[in-house]
Amino acid sequence: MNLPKIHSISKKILVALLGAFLSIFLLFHACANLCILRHDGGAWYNAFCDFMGTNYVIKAFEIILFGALLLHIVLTIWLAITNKMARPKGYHKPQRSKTHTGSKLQVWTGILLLAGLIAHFMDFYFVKLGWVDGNLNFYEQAHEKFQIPHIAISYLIFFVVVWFHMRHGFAAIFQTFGLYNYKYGKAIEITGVIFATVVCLMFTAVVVGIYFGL
Amino acid sequence: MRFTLHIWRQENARAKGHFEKYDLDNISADCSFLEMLDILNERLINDRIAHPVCFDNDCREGICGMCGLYINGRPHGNDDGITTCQLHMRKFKDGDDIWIEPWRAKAFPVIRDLVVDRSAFDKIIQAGGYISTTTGGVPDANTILVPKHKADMAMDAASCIGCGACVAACKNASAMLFVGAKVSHLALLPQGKVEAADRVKKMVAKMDELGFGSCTNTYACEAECPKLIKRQNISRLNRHWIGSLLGRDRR
Ligand code: SF4
Ligand code: FES
Repeated sequence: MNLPKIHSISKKILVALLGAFLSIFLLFHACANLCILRHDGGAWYNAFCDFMGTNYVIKAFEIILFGALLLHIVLTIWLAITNKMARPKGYHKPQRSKTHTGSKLQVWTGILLLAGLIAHFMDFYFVKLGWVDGNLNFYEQAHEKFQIPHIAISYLIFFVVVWFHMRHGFAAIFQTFGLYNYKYGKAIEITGVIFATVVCLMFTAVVVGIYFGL
Repeated sequence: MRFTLHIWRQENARAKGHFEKYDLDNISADCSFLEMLDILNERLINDRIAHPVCFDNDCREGICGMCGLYINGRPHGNDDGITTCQLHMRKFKDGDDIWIEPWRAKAFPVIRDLVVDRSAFDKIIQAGGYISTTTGGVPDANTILVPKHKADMAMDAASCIGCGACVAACKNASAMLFVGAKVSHLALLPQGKVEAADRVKKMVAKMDELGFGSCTNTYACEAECPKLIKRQNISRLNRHWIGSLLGRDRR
């Protein structure tokens, strides 16, 4: 099989760049979600959703975001295929080297993430687009959904997967851009853990908060 | 000590290959792994059982990088920072099953049994892993000043012996640690800096062309490198490669 030729490092850089962009979006998304926890009947959150749904700049941004997501997925699949091709015959004994599990999990957490994301869109984004039935008032929609135990638990599992994917991704981005050095290596890894944890805790807070009626 | 060996046997590059089982008794715990294979070969020859098992080796003191064997799921066997010739049978338990496989990578085709063709590494070096001028006689050590930490990093990178364990260990059969080390040890020093941008471009292009995979940051290479080359060299490789694209030619 002959795939179009792009330098291996270019592919990695693009994946990393798109990953960084998506992570920043997630942070933004998590911060916005915290408005749901205000006991204001959804005034702030719905106003925010309204803005997101009507502003043209945001609409353009939405397209870029989905483009980035799609490209991130396509490129990683492409990388995975070329990498598989680099070892046509594998080893009989499974690998026992001490490695970073994050990287080996990355493809699987990625696949889980995609499945989770589609489920998440069925609850919210597709409702907005009118593709599935649901409450267009996302503040109420969130309250309806997250009070159902199995949905709340699924979201919590989803956040754990997000955490794993982001924790590995964060340090990997620095490595790919050549910023991982002797001096800051450890600091970068710790920052990655903190970043992933903070983002996931913010998401978790909303689901747990709604579930327990806090 | 007694061992059951499962060794990859393959007539030639085109043959299919299979694992062959050999029982080996009376092996001293102080025997090195390669000596153990020598003993096996002696028995195979003397008892006319089979052709001897082919495996690469040369210095047998951990400096040449020839002895590449994938032993029980790890390149160079179950220890850190060693080559196969530095592995001893005391690292195993009496009665152990030992699976011995050649390096597996598209760019390292098997020639026979456990011997693989690693000339892909030479091709990467030939693409630019050198300083293209004759430097003449050895100058005084202090005529060109090199900061100590740079000299140390360059020396660490230069200790790569080109064994290919990084490729063998990597789930993507990526040669980034090797190329990172080779690019780094030259680029860190004033003499090598001049051609750094050109060099990194050419070596990476060659690496891709030869069919090595790309790094996905698993760092199995770092864990298995007998010379403990660090992943920071891959990071430097990426940085210099990006720099070379942006036209940061150091000339
Ligand atoms: S980087 Fe390490 S494992 Fe890779 S070829 Fe050099 S010495 Fe061998
Ligand atoms: S034979 Fe030279 S490093 Fe092992």
